[in-house]
Amino acid sequence: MSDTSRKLVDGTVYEVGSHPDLPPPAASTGIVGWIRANLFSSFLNSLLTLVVLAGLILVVPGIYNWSVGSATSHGETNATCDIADKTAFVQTKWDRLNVEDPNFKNRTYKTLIAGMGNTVRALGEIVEKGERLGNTYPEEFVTALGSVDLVAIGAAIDEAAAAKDLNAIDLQVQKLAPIADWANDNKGFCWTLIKKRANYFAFYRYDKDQQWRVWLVWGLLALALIPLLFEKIPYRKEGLLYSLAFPFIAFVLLLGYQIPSGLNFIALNASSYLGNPLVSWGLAGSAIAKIFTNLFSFEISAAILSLASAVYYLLSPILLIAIFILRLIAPLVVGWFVLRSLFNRNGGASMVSLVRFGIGTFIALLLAYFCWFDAAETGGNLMVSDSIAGGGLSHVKTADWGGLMLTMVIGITGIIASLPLGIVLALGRRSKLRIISIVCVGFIEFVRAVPLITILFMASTMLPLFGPEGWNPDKLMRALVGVALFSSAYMAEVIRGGLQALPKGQYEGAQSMGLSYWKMIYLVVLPQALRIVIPGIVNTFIGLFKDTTLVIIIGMKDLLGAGVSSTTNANWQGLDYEAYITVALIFFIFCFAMSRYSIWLEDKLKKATTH
Amino acid sequence: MSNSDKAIVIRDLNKWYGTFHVLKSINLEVAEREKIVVCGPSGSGKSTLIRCINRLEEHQQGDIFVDGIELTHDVKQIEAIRREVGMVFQHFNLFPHLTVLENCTLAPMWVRKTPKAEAEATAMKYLERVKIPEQALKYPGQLSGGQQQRVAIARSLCMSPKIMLFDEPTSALDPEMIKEVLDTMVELANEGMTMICVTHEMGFAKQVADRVIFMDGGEIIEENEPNQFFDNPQNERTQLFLSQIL
Repeated sequence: MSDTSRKLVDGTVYEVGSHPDLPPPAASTGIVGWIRANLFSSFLNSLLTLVVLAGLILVVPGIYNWSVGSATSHGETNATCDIADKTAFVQTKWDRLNVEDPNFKNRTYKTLIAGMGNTVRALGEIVEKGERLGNTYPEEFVTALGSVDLVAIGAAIDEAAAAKDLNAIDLQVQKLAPIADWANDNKGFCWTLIKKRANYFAFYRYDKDQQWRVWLVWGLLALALIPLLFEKIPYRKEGLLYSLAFPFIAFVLLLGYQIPSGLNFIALNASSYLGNPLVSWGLAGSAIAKIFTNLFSFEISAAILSLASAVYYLLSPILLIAIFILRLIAPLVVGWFVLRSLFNRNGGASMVSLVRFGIGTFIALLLAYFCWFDAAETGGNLMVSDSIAGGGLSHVKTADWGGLMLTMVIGITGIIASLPLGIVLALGRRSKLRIISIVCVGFIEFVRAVPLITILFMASTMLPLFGPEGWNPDKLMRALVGVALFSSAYMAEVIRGGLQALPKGQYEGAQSMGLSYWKMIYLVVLPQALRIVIPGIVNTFIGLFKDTTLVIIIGMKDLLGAGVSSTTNANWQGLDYEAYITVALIFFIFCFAMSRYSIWLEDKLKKATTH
Repeated sequence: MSNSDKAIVIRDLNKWYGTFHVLKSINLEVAEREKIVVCGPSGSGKSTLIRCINRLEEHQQGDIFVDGIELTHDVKQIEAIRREVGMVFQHFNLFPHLTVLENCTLAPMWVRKTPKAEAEATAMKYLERVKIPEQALKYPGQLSGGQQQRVAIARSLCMSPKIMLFDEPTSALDPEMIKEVLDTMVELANEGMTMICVTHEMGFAKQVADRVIFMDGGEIIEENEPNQFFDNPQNERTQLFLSQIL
């Protein structure tokens, strides 16, 4: 080797400073390289890989066989699946018996054999019942069934069992062979349940003719999510306005409204709508008096009820007046913004601004319709009357809502409500004003100390007792309020973690520039704090989405409730695995999607602000 | 009472952290266009003093008047004062989720309600003055320490403050970067900004300060113009301090 030339491993000579770019060795790239580096990099790693492989070999074929290989999706009821299951059951049990207790000694096996005859007979009944319910059976089963006399075989097995004649039983079981073969190929996952009951799982008892409304709401939901979840889309601002309006649109679509033949402007009906504040406050006065009489006679619980009544009677006129004023001004405010946006163009109207103006006007008019008018004949709500005077969407009672649709309504409402409420509670907890922080801490700690089931239970059964006579808020509304309050307490703590993690210098930097408290929170603190706790927030969302299943306690059938109902339905008995696994899969899809989105969001945010 | 010809008037200022008496009977007057350097050992209350001026710390006794406005619990007055007083921190305190340009335009747009185009023009002007206009669209996390501190200075200047407070602006920087920040501050001083600077950079003090104040144990021990202060310290504690750092 000289000073200016060197040799490569294979002997080639190269000049210093011009070493050729060689490809990496074959064993370190491609699939082989990946396997070597990740699965067999060390002894322990290799051992773990082999253990996991062994586990997969044990488990995967069985799962595949059960869910796809021997699965069936035939028929109108569970009959086909049931027959396959029971026949395979008989066969398997007999095989086991033969091997484990050939001398017929064990008492348990005697009971099993006694049951076998019944099972075989029952097969015949199931076939018949299935046909009555409109079920049809696959060709090969029908032909196989033709060559098998179930009743006779059943009776023969009973005789043989009584006579303890193993060979005779064996003979009879062999006769089942034609359908037994078919059964073995069809005893797996019963996809029939999902085929036939998908509608039930999704909508439960929602009016069949009106289910298109739920599909529409789902489509609109997907559209509403896009501006919320993704930043770089065109017309994002308009999209966000739509997302803001979406809950109200969805509410109207799902619940239904009527186009009445007569409308009343609410101001004309104001007196009946607002009631008589004086009467209400009079009742409040008497309730307050009752508090004291109850306290003096040491009836604490009665005193508390009186307190609740007093608060209600004091606040309700104020609340009604506030709602009335809101109904009057909301369309005006929206209309003003729409007009302002039209006249604010400093360059003439463009296509975008015209479209915006059109959408804004439409929303303002819609708002005016719902806010300013009540149906004349029914004297009230445009929303919940059962009579359809001139058209509109029929009212679907919230008691009929169920299935996946209900899970999504409760879950999404909980998610949407918990984030802003949680932010307010977290900020309130850290407030320097004593009263606010005490109230926030008290609320958070109380709600966190109590299981969601008790809150739902309390809300649904006991809430009317706390208010005055006849106060009966809608059951779904109670569940929604309970879920929203519950999850906002948890969200508050997650967000408080983020607020604490933010360096004090950020607060000071913002304050030193003259930013007011709320501007500082909105521009500097929340963007950073929320980013820090995205994992915690999405975690809470995912937990909340699954916690909605607890509404089964108050008699509402969400997705899980629909699954449970399936298992108790006469036509679908015996398909527990299928029902629960389907429900679990659907939850998995939603929760995994949320989880993946959060990871994508974190990556995106990290890329944006660092090298 | 509230001498409006003076930029800052502090009278008999006393502050406690709990029972710990951290600022003891501080009396200070700062005229407009005056540059004050505050130095002293750690724990002497220098940072606390200047943080009291823009209400990042609350004082229990005494009066502070900034630009003629009294500093009380009144939020409106506090916000008015904070608009006129810019502060540069030891650890920069830039907003990491916003670009450099957005950091600079945030306050003018949201506090002074300047329109976006104008705010961005002002921001670019000041970014050029601190000699980093090309970094405008980067995020603070992508800049070096010296660049970040200069962005912090530009961000404060975008609000056109009358007074600038510096809380050890170069203490967190490497030696190479200290010079670029000090140069910026010297330029600022030469243009006539009223400045109060807590720093250990005595070279800067000699070059720019109208008065140097020495604080120890919460009191102002000595206050003099730089030549007198460095060559002829009166108090023995000042002499001890100077002997340790020079």
